Parts: sequence; structure tokens; C-alpha cells
Amino acid sequence: MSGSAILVPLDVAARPAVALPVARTLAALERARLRVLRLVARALAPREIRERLGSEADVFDARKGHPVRAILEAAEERPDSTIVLSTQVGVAAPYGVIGRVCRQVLLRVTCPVVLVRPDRGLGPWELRHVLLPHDGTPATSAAIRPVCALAGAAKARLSVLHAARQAFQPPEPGSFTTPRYLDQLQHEWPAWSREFLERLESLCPLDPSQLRLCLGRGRPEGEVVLFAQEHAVDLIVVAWKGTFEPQRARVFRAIVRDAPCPVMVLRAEPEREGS
Amino acid sequence: MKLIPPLDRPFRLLAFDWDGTAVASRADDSEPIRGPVERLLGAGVLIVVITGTNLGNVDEQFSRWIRGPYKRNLYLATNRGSEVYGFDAPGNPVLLWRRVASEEEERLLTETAEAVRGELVARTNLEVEVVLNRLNRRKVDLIPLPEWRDPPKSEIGRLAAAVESRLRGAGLEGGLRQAFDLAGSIARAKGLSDPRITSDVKHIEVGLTDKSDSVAWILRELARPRAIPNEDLLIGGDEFGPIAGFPGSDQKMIIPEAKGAVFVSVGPEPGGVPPPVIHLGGGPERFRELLAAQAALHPVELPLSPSEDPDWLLVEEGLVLTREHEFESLFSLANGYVGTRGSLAEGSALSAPATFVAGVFDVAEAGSVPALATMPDWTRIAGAVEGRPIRLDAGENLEHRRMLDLRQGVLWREWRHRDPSGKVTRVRGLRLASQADRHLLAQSVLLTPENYRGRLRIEVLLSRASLVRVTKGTVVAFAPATVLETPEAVEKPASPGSGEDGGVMRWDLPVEAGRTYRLDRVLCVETSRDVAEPLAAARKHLDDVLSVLGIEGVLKAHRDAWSDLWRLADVQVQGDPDAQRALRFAVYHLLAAANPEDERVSIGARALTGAAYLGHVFWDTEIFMLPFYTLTIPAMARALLMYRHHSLPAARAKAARLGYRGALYAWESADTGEEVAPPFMIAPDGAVVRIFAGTQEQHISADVAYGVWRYWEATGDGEFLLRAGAEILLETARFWASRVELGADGRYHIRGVIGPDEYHESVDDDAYTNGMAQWNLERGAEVAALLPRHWPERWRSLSHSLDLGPEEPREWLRVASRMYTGFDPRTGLFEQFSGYFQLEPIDLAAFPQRTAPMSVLLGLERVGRSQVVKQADVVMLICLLWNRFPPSVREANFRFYEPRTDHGSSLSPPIHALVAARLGDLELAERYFRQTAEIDLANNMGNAAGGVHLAALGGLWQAAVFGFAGLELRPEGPVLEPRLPRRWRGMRFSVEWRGARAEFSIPGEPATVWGRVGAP
Repeated sequence: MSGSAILVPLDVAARPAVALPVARTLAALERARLRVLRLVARALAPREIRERLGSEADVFDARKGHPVRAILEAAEERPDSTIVLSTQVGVAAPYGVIGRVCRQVLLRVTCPVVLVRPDRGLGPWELRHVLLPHDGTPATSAAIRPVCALAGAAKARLSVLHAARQAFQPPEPGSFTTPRYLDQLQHEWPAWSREFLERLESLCPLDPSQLRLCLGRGRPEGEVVLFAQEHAVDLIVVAWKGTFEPQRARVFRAIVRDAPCPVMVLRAEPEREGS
Repeated sequence: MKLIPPLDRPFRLLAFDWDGTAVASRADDSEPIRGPVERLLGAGVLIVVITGTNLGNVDEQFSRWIRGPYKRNLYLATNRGSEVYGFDAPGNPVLLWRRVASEEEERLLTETAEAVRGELVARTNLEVEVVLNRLNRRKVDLIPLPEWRDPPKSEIGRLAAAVESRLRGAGLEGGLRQAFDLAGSIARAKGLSDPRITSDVKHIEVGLTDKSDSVAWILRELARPRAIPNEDLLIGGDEFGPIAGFPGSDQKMIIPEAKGAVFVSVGPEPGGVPPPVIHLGGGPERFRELLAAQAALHPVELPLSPSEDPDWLLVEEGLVLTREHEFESLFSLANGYVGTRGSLAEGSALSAPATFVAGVFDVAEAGSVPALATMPDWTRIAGAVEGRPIRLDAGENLEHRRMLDLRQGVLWREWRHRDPSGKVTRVRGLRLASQADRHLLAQSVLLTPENYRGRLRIEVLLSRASLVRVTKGTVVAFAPATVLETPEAVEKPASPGSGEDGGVMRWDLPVEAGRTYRLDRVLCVETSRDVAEPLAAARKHLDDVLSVLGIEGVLKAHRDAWSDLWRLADVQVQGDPDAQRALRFAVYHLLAAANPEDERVSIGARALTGAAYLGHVFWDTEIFMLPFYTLTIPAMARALLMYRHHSLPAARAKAARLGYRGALYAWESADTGEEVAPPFMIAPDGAVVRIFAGTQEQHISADVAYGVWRYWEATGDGEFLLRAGAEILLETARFWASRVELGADGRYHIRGVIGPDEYHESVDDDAYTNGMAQWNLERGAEVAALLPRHWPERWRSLSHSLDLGPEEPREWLRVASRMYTGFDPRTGLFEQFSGYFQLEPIDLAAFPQRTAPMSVLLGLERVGRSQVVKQADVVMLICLLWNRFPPSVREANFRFYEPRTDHGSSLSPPIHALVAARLGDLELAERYFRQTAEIDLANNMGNAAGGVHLAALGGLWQAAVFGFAGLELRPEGPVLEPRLPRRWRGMRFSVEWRGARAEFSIPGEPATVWGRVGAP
């Protein structure tokens, strides 16, 4: 077992236990310790948790205080944690909306967070197909680095989805988006695909044999959700710039809201020029 | 070695005794001293070896091991002052001066020696021998005993004692001194006016010269002509002081004319040294240290320096590693024969170094199409300090800059790197593919530890002569020469790159802070396409070049060659630095792509700058690049057109395979001219897309014919027309005549083609294809009329070999006159193809500032059903055949098609810039010009990762010259109708027209200079 940990905060909001099957699979794949944080006394009982997760899971109760603080403290104890939580943990929120606790956790932690929608159910979860929506920026490539080991352990297929947009040119140096010119398709597309994947692999060393690049057209959020639905995706990995500002988080919100599977959120920082 | 004054300054001329000073004996290996000697020679210091022995001995022991052009700074003063040798360009010794003895002198020398021997024998009854076979001197051996046959210098004390004991014991009370004086008096008595009596203790020598003559020659022939003052002369020896009571042989070097020179002795000098000699002692080891210390006083620098004018530099400041493939392409170096991407020498996670040799293709697997073969990475140099690699992605980059020097064709790099332990290393370097000798590649790198001392490891790949055999059978040979200079010496590698270490040459150096170490590499490339034995040829070629030129000479010749090219091809723009740089960048890559000496290759879509497009040749060459070559350096254009002539058999075979006559050129061709367009492709959305270009994009035959005719018009190169051009024109015309179908409307149609607008496949009567075919048929008929008139003999043989009767050209004219063109006289519009006007109109204005082509945004199927045009098609036709259309037709068609054009190909914006400029719409023209310039230079969409867009660069040149300058090529000569962009204050360029060169300056006279070509 590695030194990493899968942290699952539980409360009594709508079906918080949906996170447990996902957490269990992730822990097995990452050879990580499972740590279940009971945010309130009325949460799932330790005995029941262990029945679902196995006897080795650490179950512990939060100290009194706000659930966000409890989750942050627990995460800080193990800096290499992955947090798995229901989008509805904490105070219940309308369907499809990221709950307040979930939102605060996302804003304040830098570790990976896996969001599980309450309607996912309690059935077992397997990781066979990972979808990486990619805007072509180096920041995204760097951010999704943690998924390498996970996908490798699961021997999961990796689909990298880039959505062609009408006028999209990220300001970040080294960004690589859809080509403006396709002089000869038979040469441009193979060259473009190779270049896209090589730039990705230079920052995120994925196994090329598991990797497939796909090009979508239109609004990225729609393309991502549609692709996930049509290709039996088990996990969508999103590189997030760490903001909920209305104009910037549209894609992120929509994916979390409509994804048919758990969403892993990884923090992306723009690459600095000259680095 | 710490130098004491006056030795602590760099001397310009070093002269030294050999035996006992530079080496302990003549049997020693001279390797220890060669390193610093070569370093000094390379730094321009003159070195003279002064020796009593003959050339053969010192050459065998020393000078034959020294190679390189700097050997011309080496001199051998041999035979005790009687001869001086220098070295010619290949490094062979050349006699510069010899003291020639008269017969009388020869006789007197022999008589003197014999008399001395006789006198000594008479007085001592000892065995004494005379050695006669020496130049200008005779030797009397005082101790011809086996144990003293060849005494080393180190035994001189014991030798002196033995000689003294022998002579005195036999009755010569004055011993050696008496014998010495005896020789002098006998020589004078015999009549020798200026006898030179010397002794190495074993011998008394009677001669006509001594080392004073060597020093006098040095002063007279080397120092004075070069204005080297005596103070800059350092003269070394080991025997200045008295030995056995008479002056040491090196004291002869202290002559009055050398006053002010510095004399130094490393010998034991038991009797002390005379003034002004500085006694160091320590023997040859100390002398080597002295030379190394002198070498260190001469700075280690790069052989060239970057251009200072920023208009000639393309600079990358800092580093965005994810853009590395783009910069590798932009910074490519090539000479039309070999090309190398501008990769980081030490490599990185995103480095894709590649070297390509024009015309060398490989087939990766059965069934795949040939691709330009990637050669071994000759640029690779890895450095490590105390085991830590010096890499961009390890440690911190304090500064990093790459500069493509367009004027000199050199890629420069400046880099300061701090490793995780804080050690800062400064790296500077240059790289080039020689334009002067296309088989040569060169690289020079300086490494300076800024704040540390320690061990520096340097490794280079491809360190030994190697062969690469590609699957198509071609063999490519690389012969490298690598030299590492420390401040003190030329260093031998710890590992020379033999077979066991995979060809890695390695040095492990102790390095000091603030000192600079330089690595030079020159490689020669030869292929089995050029010579039968490429490896041997490459080795010999490299040897020959290095012995004559050295790396400095290689670099200088390259720089001069680029200078010559720029004189012919530069386009100067005043008032718009961005446009200026873009045009220089375009011209640089165009010049780098072509090789006028090889007519078996053409230029691929990405030239030799990247692997994309597999090196395949398209219509790009004839339509977009060729006008540049035709009008600047016609020999390059001719070579490119000869490639098409050589690939006529493949074009005929393709036409026949599809059921036609004549020549149908491959849409994509490689080395043989056969069709190599891939039939299928998998799109990123997973769709398998059938590629019809290889069968339907037939306009290329007319495009090749167009290139031929325009070249012929511009050059009047009758030899080309007769040898190749006419055959191409006739065979392509014949193709079109067989390709057309007579319709019910009585017009000839061309059905089932793809025009330049590749969004629409399998169309009938593409305006561009039909228009160009019509033109091709007319030119075929024209050449069929031209040849019998002017070259009847050639016409007879050509028409016979093509089985071309007089009726066929007439038929071509008939077909041309009845060709369906899609032109509507009421609107003045050409319909791009049959049914085009009925397609769905899509307003492209609704997709402003798009960063993806419409085929991606809407899908290929949708754009195929629409009026969206991928690239100039009708506009292309108008551009090429400008004078066939009245102004109203040009205007009407441009205004109709321009808003419908997506510019989904990089070939489209430059043509629109050109046509817009000629129509006077400068605002639009400028916009398209900028868009073209940005295809590679402002590339943040990664388009250039697989290589630069050479056709777009050729189009940029055309937009400037044909568009803004308004160059028109009329039968009476080129004329201008300039319409410069608002910001352009002026423009200068030159073109070659029918053997004469016209230089244009705008504003100014139409042709400010007009002269015959040939005068450099």
C-alpha cells in the first residue's frame, strides 16, 4: 500500500454513500488507504461503512465545527489524499447543483477531488474508460498528470477529447488547438494528432497504447457529456482553473451537472512563459 | 602553471628547439605537446620548430600528426639552420628556404672534417669517425662506441665525462674544448669564410649554418612581414648555457637582431644561462606546461558572430517547451541537399531532432507510402557537471535564447543554466548546413563554468563514420570530425566513440570557473545516390575540406555563400519591420530548400524542415515556389523542373493506368514520381476518410506545364526547352486531349475531378482545371509549332520518339477552343464547377475570426454540399492567367468568391493577398498578407510543428513582388505597377530576366540597375 489516501466525507444529505463504491475502487487501484470522515454523528455507522468498504478502512468522526473545515483538516493530515464526495454533501442543494460544502472544498483544496452525483446509485464501480476533455493548453496537460498512474493501474482506455470551436485561441503559450489550415487532410490530421498527443505526453506521461485522441465539434461541455454517454465512460477527468466565475466555469459546471459518471477534478495552473 | 613576467602575456610567435626541449628524445611520442601546439596554431600563433635533424625525422615524430588548416601556421627550421619548411593547404611540407652550398664549400666541409679527424687520430690514436651525409655540415664523432651510439639528452653529463675522459686519457689535454677549437682553426685554414662549429658533445660539427640562421629567417620572413615585434617572440631551448666549456647549441639563437625577444630554457643548464635567457628548467614536461599556459592566454571564441541587425534575426527568448516542435521547424537549417531541424542539442521531453537528405525516402512498413527518411541525430551534445546533466528540463534556466540568423544561415544559441546544486554553466553555440558545400554540416559549442570547478562530461553522438541504409536501398554515409579545445590544448576524448560504446564520444574534463571549452564538429554526408562508395567518399571529402579550410574556413565559405544568395534574392521593405522579417524568413527557407546541383529531387511541402507531409512533392512547387526561383536563381528552378522531366515515365504510366494518353503527374510524388498519395486516412473523430486526390486532383499536370512555360519565358533557356521542357508541355497537352469528353453541347468537358478547392470532390468542369487544361493544350500546340521552326532537328527526334504527328497539335487547339469554361458572359462569373451555384450558400461572415476551418466546424460533408470554397480556385485561375481576363472579370470573380472562401488551406491567403493587391484593394491585401506571414511566424496553433509551409512562404514572396510591387513579366521585359501598403515606405528587390538582372527600387525608377547576368 502506498502512502496516499482516499478520503470520503459522509453526512446525511442525499445519498452520501454513493461515494463509497467509487472510493473503494480508487483505493484498490491506487493502493491507497481508505479514510471515511463522518461529518455528523447521524452519518452512516462505522460498522456499516466497514461492511461496505472492508475492515481496513479508517473511520473517524469530525471534530465539532463546519464540515468544510473538517474535510480540509482531514485532507491536510494526508497531503496526498484524493477526496471522493457526493456533490450533495453538506447542505442539500437542488439537483444538478454543486452543493455549498462541495463547492468550498473544491475551491480550497489542491488535491484531486472526485465528485459523485447522488443519482449514481450504490452499485459497484469499475474504471475501464477514462475521458480527458482537453482544451489544448499545457496547464491542462500538466494538471491531469495524476491520472496517469490511476489509468495505468486500471488498464483503462483513455480518450482525450478536444472540441473544435469557432474562435478559440487560449492565451497560454504552447496551447495547441484545432489547426487553422488543413492543406491536405491525409497529412494534416495524422500530424496534428501526433503533435497533440506528444505535447500531452511530455507533461503527462500516459501510455500511448491506451490513448486515443478524439475531436469533437461545438460546445465542449455538450461534446464531453455526449461522448461520455455514447462511449460508456466511467470517469471524466477535468482540469479546473479553480474559479466559479460565471463566464469561466460554464464548461466545468455543465460537465459536473450532466456527466453520466463520476468526475475527477484536478487543479490546473497556467504555465508561465519561460518555465 | 603560473606564469611569471614576462611570460605571462600571449606571444604571437613561438620558436623552440625540438630535441631536449619539446621532447626528451627522438623516440618519444609527441602527443603531449601536440594538444597545446594545435590549440595555439588554431589561435593564430605562429610556431617554428628549430632542430638540427632533418625534415623526415621531425615530420615523422611530430608534424605529420597535426592536421587542419591551422597547420599553415607551423614551420620547421631543420638541418641546423639550413632549411625552413612550411605546409601547403592539404598539410604537406613545402620547402620555403634552403642554404645551398657551392661545390667548393662542400669540398671544404669534407676536407675540414677529414682533417680534424686526422689531427685527432694523430694526437690520440683513438678511433674517430666522420659523418658526411649531412646537409651543409660534417660531423666528427669523438666517441664512436656502441654504448654511446645514440645517447639521450638526459645523459649529456655522463656523455661529456666519457668524451673528456676518452680524449684526455688519450693525450688530448684540452679535451673536448681543444677538439672544438681545432675544428674552427682547421676550417678557417681550409678557407671556409664563416664556419659554424657546434657540438652536441658526442660530435664536433663543421657547417655552413646554425640555429642563428633559423632565427634570422624567422625575423626576416615571419615576424617583419606580419609586423610582429621582437617582444612578441618567445624562443625556447634547453642548451643556452656552456657545456664542457663551450657555448650550448641554443645560444646560437640569441642573435642581435632578436633583441627584445624573450628566451627561455627548460634544460638543466648546469653551467647557468647567459642573459637574457630565463631559466625555467623542468625539461619537456615544463615546456609543455609553458605552451599550455600560453594557449590559455588566447581566448576561446566561436568562429562567427551573429548578425547585429535585428531585421535578420528570428529570436526565441526564453522557452516554452510545448512549442518546441514549432521552433524546431522555424529554426531549421538546410541547403537543398541536407536539412536539420533546430532542435536542442541536449534534447528534451519534446525534442524531435531530425535530419533529412533530399531524395532519400524510406518505407516504414509494407503497403505504406514512402516518407522522407530521418537520419541519425548528428547535433546531439550532452553535458553533465559532476554527473548532473545540463538540461533545460533539469535545474533552472537563467537565460535562454535561440536565434535564426537569416543573413548567415546560422542557428545561434545562448543559454545560462543553473543545476540543482547551484552550478551555473554558460553555453553558446552555432550550427549550420553549409551553402558553400552542401555535403557539410557544422556545429560549434562553447561551455563556460561560471561559478564552479569540477568535472565536466561532454558526449556527442554519431562520433564515427557511419552508414544508414534505408529500406528503399539508399545508403547514406556520415563522416564526422570532432575536436574539443580546452583553454590550454586540443583534448583527446576519454572514449573515442568506438563500436563498443555505441558511437558515443566522451570527454571527462577537469574544468575551472571562468574558463571556456569549445567543441567543434563538422560532418560530411554522402549518399549512394551520389557516389558508389559513400562512406569512403564522405571520409575523403571531409579530410580534404578540413585540411584546407578547417571549421573556420567551412563557416566562412558558408557565410559568403549565403551572402551571394541574398544579393540575388533579398526583398527589402522600408517602414514595416514585421513584413520585412516575414519576407526574409520566407526567402531564407526558400533558398535553404533548393539545390541547383541536383535535378533528381524536388521540394516537399515542408521542404527539409519537418517530417509532416512525408517529404512529398505537390503542385506547391510549380505554382507557389517556382516563380521565386525562376526570377531570382533560375538554376534552382531548372533543377526542380528537371525533376519533373525525370519523372515523366511515372506520369505517363499513371495516365495509362487511368486510361489516358500523355503524362498525368502524381498528386503526391517522392523519389520516382509515382503516385504516393495515401488512399485513406483516419480522422480524429474516428471516421475513415477516402482520399481521392491521388486520382482526381489532375490539375497538377497543367501546373507542371505552367511552371515549365513560365521558366522558359523568363529565362529563354533554350537548352532546357529542348532537353526537357518541350517534352513536358507536349505530353501534358496530350494528356488533356485524351482526358476531355465531348458533350452533347458540343463543348469539351473534364468530369470527375478535384480542383484546388478540395471541399468539393468528384466535380465536373472545375473552372481552374478546365482553364489550366485549355492553357496547357494551347502551349503544347505552341511548342509543337516553335520547335520545327527553330530547332527542326530536335523536333524530328522528339516528335518521332513521342509518335507525335502534325495533326495532334491541331487537335489540341481545337479542343482548347471548345473547352467548357463555366464562364457566364452576362455576369462575368465563372461557375467554379457544374452545379456550384445551386449549392447551399453559407455566410462565412457568421464565423468571424475562426481558428478552425469550416470543414472542422461544420464537417466535410456539410461543406461539400455548400458553396464554401476551401481555397482559391477561380481566383487562382485568374491569378495565374491574369492577362487572359479583362479587368471586369477579374474583379467580379474575386468579389464573388473571396467572401465564400474559407482559406482552409495555407495556400489560399497569399493568393488572395496578391490578387487583392493587383485589384487595388490594399486593405484586404494587407490583411491576407499578414495572415500568410503568421501561418508560421505567429504560430500558436502548432501548424508549423511538422515543418514550415514552404508554399505559403513562396506565396508570400509572390504577394509582395507580383502583388504590392506589381511586377509584370512582359515580352519586352519586367515592369512594375506598384501599389505598396500604407506602411511600406519603400521596397527593393531584383529579378533575373532572360540572362539579365533588373534591380527595382520603389519609389524610384522602374529599373534602377540593368546589367548582364554573370558579373558577380
